[in-house]
Amino acid sequence: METQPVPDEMSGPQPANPPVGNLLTTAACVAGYFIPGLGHAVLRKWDRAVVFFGSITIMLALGIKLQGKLFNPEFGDFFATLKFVAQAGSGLLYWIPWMQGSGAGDPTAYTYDYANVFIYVAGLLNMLVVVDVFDIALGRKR
Amino acid sequence: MKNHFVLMLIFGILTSLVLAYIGKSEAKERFRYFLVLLGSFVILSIVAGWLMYPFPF
Repeated sequence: METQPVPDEMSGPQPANPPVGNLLTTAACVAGYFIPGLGHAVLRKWDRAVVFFGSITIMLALGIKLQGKLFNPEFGDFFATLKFVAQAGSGLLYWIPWMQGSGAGDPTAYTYDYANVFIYVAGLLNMLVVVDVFDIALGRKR
Repeated sequence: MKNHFVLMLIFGILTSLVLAYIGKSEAKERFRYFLVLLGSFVILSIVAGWLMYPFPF
């Protein structure tokens, strides 16, 4: 009686999820950048989509409401560039209020510094969320 | 809303929630990670505040 060879797909480490195609990966990452959580919704990770959208939206809305400033795209000063990049990570949640002229910020407000931290961190978290979408789409994560 | 502790708590809850969902896959692991992160945010912020208290700037 001969032993049966182990099939190839059973021998190596298995991906957590079957990887989706390149087009869907790109679409999910782009969607996830513009609207937090949408990339996970594209990949049918509904719980993560709701949590990411809710948390990042609340953080950015609180930041604007507490007199935080939406920094303009300026590349002359290094720290101004970093602030802009961090905030712009929120996608449309940054660009729509910026185009509407809200988020002027009041440096004399009691909550100005806190508000800016809320806006920075909302953008930075959304960048992590996009990386998470990328990992899930490639099958590295569940 | 001018209470810094409440703002720190809101910040900690939202940030810990996102990081827990990114970092862990199972519900139980996520909950524990969320609590650890939230506790770290709150306790370390208070400790850092007290350590900086004597500085004049």
